[in-house]
Amino acid sequence: MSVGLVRLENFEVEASEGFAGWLAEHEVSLIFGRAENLMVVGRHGDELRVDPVTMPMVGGLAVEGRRLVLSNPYQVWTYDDGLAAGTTTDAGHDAVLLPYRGVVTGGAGIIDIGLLADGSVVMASPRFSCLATTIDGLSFRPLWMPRWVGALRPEERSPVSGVGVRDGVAATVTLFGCGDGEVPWREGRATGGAVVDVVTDEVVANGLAVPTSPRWHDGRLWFTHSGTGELCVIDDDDSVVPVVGLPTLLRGLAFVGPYAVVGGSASRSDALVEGLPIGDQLAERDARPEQGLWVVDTRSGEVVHRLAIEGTGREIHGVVAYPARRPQVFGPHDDELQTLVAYDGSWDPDAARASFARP
Amino acid sequence: MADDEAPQSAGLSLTASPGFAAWLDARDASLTFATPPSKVFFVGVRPDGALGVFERTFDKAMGVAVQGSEHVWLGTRTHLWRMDSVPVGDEAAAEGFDRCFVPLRAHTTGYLNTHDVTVDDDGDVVFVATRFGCLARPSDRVSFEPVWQPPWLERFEQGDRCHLNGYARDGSGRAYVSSVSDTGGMESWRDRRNGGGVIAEVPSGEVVARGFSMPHSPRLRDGELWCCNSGSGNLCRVDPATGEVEEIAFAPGFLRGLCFLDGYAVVGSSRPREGDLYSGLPLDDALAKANLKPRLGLFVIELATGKVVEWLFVDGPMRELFDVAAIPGVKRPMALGLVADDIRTAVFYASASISRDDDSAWRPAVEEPTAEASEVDVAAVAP
Repeated sequence: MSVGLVRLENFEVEASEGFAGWLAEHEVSLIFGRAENLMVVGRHGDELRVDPVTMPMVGGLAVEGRRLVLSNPYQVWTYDDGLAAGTTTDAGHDAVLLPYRGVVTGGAGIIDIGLLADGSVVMASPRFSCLATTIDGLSFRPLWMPRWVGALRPEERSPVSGVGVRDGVAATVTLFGCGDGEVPWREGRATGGAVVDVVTDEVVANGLAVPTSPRWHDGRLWFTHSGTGELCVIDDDDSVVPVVGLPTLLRGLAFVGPYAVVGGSASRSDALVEGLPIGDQLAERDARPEQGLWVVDTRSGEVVHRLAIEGTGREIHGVVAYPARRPQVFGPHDDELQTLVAYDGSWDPDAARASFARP
Repeated sequence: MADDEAPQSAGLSLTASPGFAAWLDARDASLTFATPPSKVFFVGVRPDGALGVFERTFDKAMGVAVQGSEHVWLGTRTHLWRMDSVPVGDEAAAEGFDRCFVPLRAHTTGYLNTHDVTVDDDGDVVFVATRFGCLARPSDRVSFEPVWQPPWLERFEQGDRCHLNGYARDGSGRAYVSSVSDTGGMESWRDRRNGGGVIAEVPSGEVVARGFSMPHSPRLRDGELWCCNSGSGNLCRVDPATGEVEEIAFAPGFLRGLCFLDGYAVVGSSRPREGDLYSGLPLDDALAKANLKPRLGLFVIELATGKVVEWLFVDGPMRELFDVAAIPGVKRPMALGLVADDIRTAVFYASASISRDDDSAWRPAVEEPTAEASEVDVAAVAP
């Protein structure tokens, strides 16, 4: 189906009619990371609102309850909702997400994250070709590397592009390439990608073109096949089944009920898609990659909603669904943080004085 | 080093007394101090015996606390940062750097007007949230966790009523706070800057000494209680049993920030400006009488004599120094900040910590991170 687009007033985006209603029906908002901004897609009344937050290069996004964890290439921030349950700010936000805890991962170059059962964060580092977690006193602690990678080096030998968490355990990764540093992965990026099971170390699928965003949903592994523009699922016999093909460099995948929300990047130059199957396809049609979000019904492969963003050169790095109507999100260095202090207002100083443990 | 030899940085210059470097060298320690609105300094000694100064930018850095010689905690306008020690590269090591502090962990506190930050050996942090008039701990899921409030404040609420600013503890069970007043009316401390200050015991809140003018930086040293009577330019020793206050030394400045090394106190000094909060206090007269101008920097005071034996002055746009702390066992520290690109590219990891034979290596749930990881087989990758 083709989706008609309606221009929104508060940002340079167009949305399909009924997008707000779809969000309302599923009681979620969408948060996605873009070149310079984190974008929050929520609702105000019956209307769709897209609130940009200045926060560059957010790639990893994960939600657990009201907690949001996000990463840019050198930091991981854990957000919690500072708003009292059931209340709404004057501006209509029903969640105020504050970055209470920050971890600097530096040159690990984190591109995707997941949350494990114990609440810890698992991170995909393409630069070190590993899965990692945070550790006190260092940038990261490696958890897993492909078995053929001989050494933990910042050399993009087998770049881990995404991590899929299943039942609280890091279960699956996507790789841009499967080497050990003999040949730069970019040279073979049209066919060098793979999906690997981190439990068995087995290659589940290979020959892929820049696979990203592996996600477990409904008992199956889904991922965005960036280089072909396809949303894919791995079947029981390990075959890769495309669900839908879209005119974009796909990256970023979140599930809302039976719907998949995928992100797609455009670029001012052709370098983004050049040499990839999607680049060839678009070139044949003399078309440019489109940017924004697509909502796909995974049962039919039909695109049911679309959020289009004007302008090019702004890549989308990740997307997640958040259980609030219109969360307000602040950058970890925003001036507004000065005025936003969340604390237990019922704290009783007299009782605390009486029981204060002598330090 | 020569008297006028000064490490240079953009718009900043430092001048030290001729013996400062040798004095610091003999202490087997280095110093870190914070000068709001934007700088944190690390002061050590170079291999040639000259002073080596390193500065980094942090937004309104105030309280500084050192945990062992491995961590530096820093209270900034909206965050509490923990800087962790990482190995220095070969090039830096050749220049005598023996420690690099990198801001790797942050708590977002929002604006609490965080003053003193304290930490014990286990990493338990208690800081003074001056905006709320309370002692607080960092929290993982709200901005801060209040832990103690003086009894003269009626309610727990936002607002700086008494300007609670300092906290002293030494693990012995004794603890004290400094406060510009012991009153609870809205902003009432502002009218009590001259002589209304107190040192009070924690947790009772009982005032053990009073009559100070904007006291700051209470510290416990070998069981003795010290503080800065900032508004008179005095370093003081306080007997909490009798309330007696002994003025040990005078130095030309609004004294605030205090640490001890051997038989010396290192005291921070700020420059009041006519009409600001630090003026109109006994310090004005004391400076006039001594015909001295206030200085921004550090004074080293010999405790046995009360004499200023060394000094380090900062010349730059800033007027305030908030706190100073010693880093024991570290000769010449360096640091990464949040502004330069280093923080995005530098990476520190244990290079051989994946065991293929250990099936659990990829299961974070069953294997706790080892704190020792940083001590073994660590590689530092330059950007």
